[in-house]
Amino acid sequence: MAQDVKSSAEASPRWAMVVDLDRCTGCQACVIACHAENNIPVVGEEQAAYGRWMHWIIIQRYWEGEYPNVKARLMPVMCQQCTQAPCEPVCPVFATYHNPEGLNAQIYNRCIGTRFCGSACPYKVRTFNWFEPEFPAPLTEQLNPDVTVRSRGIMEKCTFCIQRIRRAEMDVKAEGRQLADGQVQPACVQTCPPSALVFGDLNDPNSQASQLARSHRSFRLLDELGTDPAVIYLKGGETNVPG
Amino acid sequence: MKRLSRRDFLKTAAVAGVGVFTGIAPTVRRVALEPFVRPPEEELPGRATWFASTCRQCPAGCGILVRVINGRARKIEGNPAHPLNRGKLCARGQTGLQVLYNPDRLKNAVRQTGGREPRQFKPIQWTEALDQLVSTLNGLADRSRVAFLGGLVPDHLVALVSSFLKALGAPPPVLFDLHTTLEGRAEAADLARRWFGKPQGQVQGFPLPMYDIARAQVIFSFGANLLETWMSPVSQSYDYGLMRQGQAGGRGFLAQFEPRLSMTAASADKWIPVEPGTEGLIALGLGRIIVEDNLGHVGSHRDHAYLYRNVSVSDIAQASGVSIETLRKLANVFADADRSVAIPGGYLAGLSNGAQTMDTVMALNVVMRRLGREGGVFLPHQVPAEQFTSSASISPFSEAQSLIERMKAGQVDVLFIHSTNPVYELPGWAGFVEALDKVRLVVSFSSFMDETAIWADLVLPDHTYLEGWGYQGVSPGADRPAVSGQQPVVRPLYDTRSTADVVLALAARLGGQVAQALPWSDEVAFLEQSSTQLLGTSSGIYDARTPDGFWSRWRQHGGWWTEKPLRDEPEVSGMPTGPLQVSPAAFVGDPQQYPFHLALYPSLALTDGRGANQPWLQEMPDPMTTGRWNTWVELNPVTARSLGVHDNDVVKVISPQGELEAAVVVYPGIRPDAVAIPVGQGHSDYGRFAERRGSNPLSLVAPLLGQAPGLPLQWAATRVRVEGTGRRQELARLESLDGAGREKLR
Amino acid sequence: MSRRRVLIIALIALALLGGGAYIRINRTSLASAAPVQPIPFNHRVHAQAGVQCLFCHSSALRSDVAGLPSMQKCMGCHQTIAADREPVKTLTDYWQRQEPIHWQPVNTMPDFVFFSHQPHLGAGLGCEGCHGNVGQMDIARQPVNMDMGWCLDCHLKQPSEKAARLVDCLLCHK
Repeated sequence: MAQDVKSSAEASPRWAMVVDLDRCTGCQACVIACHAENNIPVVGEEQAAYGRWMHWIIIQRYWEGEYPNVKARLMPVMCQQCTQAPCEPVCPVFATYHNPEGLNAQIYNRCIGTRFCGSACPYKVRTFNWFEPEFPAPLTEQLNPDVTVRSRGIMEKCTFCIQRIRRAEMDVKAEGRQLADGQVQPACVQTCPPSALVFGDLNDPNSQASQLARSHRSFRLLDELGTDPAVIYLKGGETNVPG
Repeated sequence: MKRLSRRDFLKTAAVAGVGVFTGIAPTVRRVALEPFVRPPEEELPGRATWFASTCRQCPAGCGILVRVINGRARKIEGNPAHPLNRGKLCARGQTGLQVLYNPDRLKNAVRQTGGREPRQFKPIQWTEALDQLVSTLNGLADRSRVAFLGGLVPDHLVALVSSFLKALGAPPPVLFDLHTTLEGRAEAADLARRWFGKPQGQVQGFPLPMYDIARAQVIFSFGANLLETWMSPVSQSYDYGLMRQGQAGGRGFLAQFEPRLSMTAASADKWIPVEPGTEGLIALGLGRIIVEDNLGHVGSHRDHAYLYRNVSVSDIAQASGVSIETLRKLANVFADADRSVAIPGGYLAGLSNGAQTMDTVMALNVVMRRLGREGGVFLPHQVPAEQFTSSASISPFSEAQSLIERMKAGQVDVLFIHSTNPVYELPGWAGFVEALDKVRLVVSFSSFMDETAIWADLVLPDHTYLEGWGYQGVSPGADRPAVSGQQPVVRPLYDTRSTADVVLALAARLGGQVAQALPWSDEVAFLEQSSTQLLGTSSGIYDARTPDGFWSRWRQHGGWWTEKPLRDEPEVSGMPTGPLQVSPAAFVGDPQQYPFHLALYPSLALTDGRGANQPWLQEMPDPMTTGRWNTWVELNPVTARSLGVHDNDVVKVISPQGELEAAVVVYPGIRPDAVAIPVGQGHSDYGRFAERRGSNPLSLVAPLLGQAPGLPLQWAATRVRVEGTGRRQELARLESLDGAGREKLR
Repeated sequence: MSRRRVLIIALIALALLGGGAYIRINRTSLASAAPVQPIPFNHRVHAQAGVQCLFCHSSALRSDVAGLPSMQKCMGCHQTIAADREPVKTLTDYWQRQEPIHWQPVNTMPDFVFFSHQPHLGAGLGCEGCHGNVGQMDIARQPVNMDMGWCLDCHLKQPSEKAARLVDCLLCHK
């Protein structure tokens, strides 16, 4: 980088996602929408049985208690876009860095596949392309042209659908407007049937995401590690209460 | 490796160095650029065009918007304006692209040579196929010997086929598939007809009741997996989100009554693990307590007291295993709320006392005066055009059985099959494959070579839904009358043909009465005319001055619905005359030999197996077990311990009818006397992603001896036993079986 | 390590660095020569006739890609204009057969670069700034090797309030 560029005078949004666990049902619609939007390959049964998965968002299911007072907690987890991301300092080629909008960027053509970032991530949300992804024809027709199709040896993860953010920013600039709250929706947010996912600008105190982030139910994952994630969870109600 | 000499090293370095220099050119595939010959009006190269259509991955009929770039469908989203799904879409809906671009699609019409089943298919021209059909139909001595077996057939095709068959003098189409069976759709329609139908109303086909989940304070779901596959899961999930965090009066309360903790129950505030078959007793008990203690704020229950005359709560507590105290608490919760609703679910229809159970659940709504009230029970308001009157034209199992009987008796000469896979979906003892032997000509319209298509003489593949036209009544309804429109978002990829066009072409060539009954030149002409029946209706979201204009708007919006919400209040016309009763459920298998109840459930990804050829759905982790790509057996930890099996041990599940082997998933959320197996795998055909994977648990379902004719398929009435095999299988799971917290489950 | 070995390694390193410098300095001449086209379309002739860039490459203002004129657009003029010339006869042949011409790409970017014309034109950039003096070219060629350094040269010259956004990797690599 030639110069040390200061943050721009143009107000940069600070993107965040709010996950309302009281609404989330665990239906996996977000998982598939993400696959469709981001050209994520399928690993196949053999690799899946070996323990491999390539999802950028997963629904983690935790059991608590014993029958009949057993609860299952379902929690969608994607890249937390940590402000103090442990994955960023360890990349030897600076393929991952923090951008002014608050996103943890992953630049595929710079990545050389050392996988240090995947080890450093405490949430384990980074996936590695161990093999060349296969899209048997004509499934190639369904690939999204706005997103790189990654090859073997590249690390990938949730990007908050940067392609949608960029597209929306370009469109409003062309029209001479500002981005409205809720105009940018990552694929998972757009499809979520119970509307459990909300995406927005934390620099705008009136955005839905900002308002929800101020809820008394809010918490962040592994907060004690100091990663300062940009994903805020809202605690769900108690399920299957005995009595 | 031999020691590298200095000379070799220098040579290699030099070559590598040269390679580095010459390889500096940008990594670009050499492609040619092809301009349009005649540019389409609406295309801006590099930008997407969006088309409104309808999803056909399940019977709900959600509205979709499809992002099309350069003639290729890239992404499916929910249509925000559509009243059913309001912009949201489930995992199956998102996977529609993999139906369109599936590598195992049939690319042309084929004829089976060398008899049925050896899978020797020869491509034929469509003209040849039509010629064969016309000559067969003309050559029939009796044209009533034609039958049509469909499953998830779009409503416009049902209308055309029904007219076609009627004009031939043949019986109406039989619409039966496993998904609607597992949802209990036919039985739900019967329930609505029994309670709310006018005495002189139709016997078959009645709109499905709608439950206002969004505004309910208390929901008692008797096995209805609202958030998964039952009825309209996207709409119900949307409403669930509102029920939780979108209501002014505070969070709603959901209680789920079922033997296995489903994904819906995982989100419930209370899961009551009922013994299979006693759901109706619980509903009776609740009703009795409400009436006896005069609970609730709806006035006196004196008029309904007779319904619960013969109910003894202590007997019920004993039979169901739910304590009197719990029953009392639940009854109070239900009655105290101003807006509460009881929902009878799909698996109830699989029990021998299903109809009675569903009655007792609906009775709770009646007693608590929930009909037509916010948070209660509604019926959809009919679309103001006869063409689109919403009625669930689903055939019960008994009709499928009588079709099979007719086939066996040699009374069916020509059988058409569309959107259903009976060889896979029906249990073997239903006798479908054997009955096919007696049918002269079997024609399948399947887009894929599935287990049924390999038994056909002719396979005339229909377009997949993203390439096709149509309309679909929204059922169960949205909060307003709606018809969902379907239009092609891309040109058909292969030499497939719309089945509606085939039927219309047949009709034209057969001439006479048949041609008169179906006077349209093609499917689009039929749809255009149908749509304009709503021209001039002031209540719609749009209107137009000409039929052309109306048809344009119809396609642009993706259908028609009213501007304002409009639902009907159900009026009870079929009040039971005497006390309610629920017979004890009958099960197949002696409890000594077969100690466990078999709880089958439609897999969230694959439902009844139709999703098995789509790799995203196969890879999608099941939310509760995180299992994928295969079949598994869910055992309670106590059960697993007593059998001496752990996760990934292979067990054999044996029923009086059959057996299957699958890996164990130790599952805390199931009764110790039940085992659960998801439906959907075990295909022998249907493409590379579906074939030779897992097992089809329908093979375990046993016929109920002495089952009176006319009863639903009792798929929840089989008992099984489980035996270890000593083998292990690595089941593909998202979760890891290592790590803290797993000790309890071993 | 022996002195010889050190020398060899140093030579290789120098060669690589030299190679990189060579590319940087000679960006212009390293750009690819004009690719051979199915019809020798002459930009100079059309520019002199007064045809604007955006008339044929009409999507540049509103889309990522500039686009190519459809056959219909070409025939709009060439039904009558210069219909006796060889290239136009070839064009007419294609049109009679309703077959699109397979043009060879001239200005190319690697797959991992997501370039959009629309913001550049929206910022007031003219076509010549990047594509060179196409109006003087007979057969179209790429005048400069459009590598990332070249893009950054211009992006970094922007006013500081825009520069931060314009040098963000995520702007072009998604």
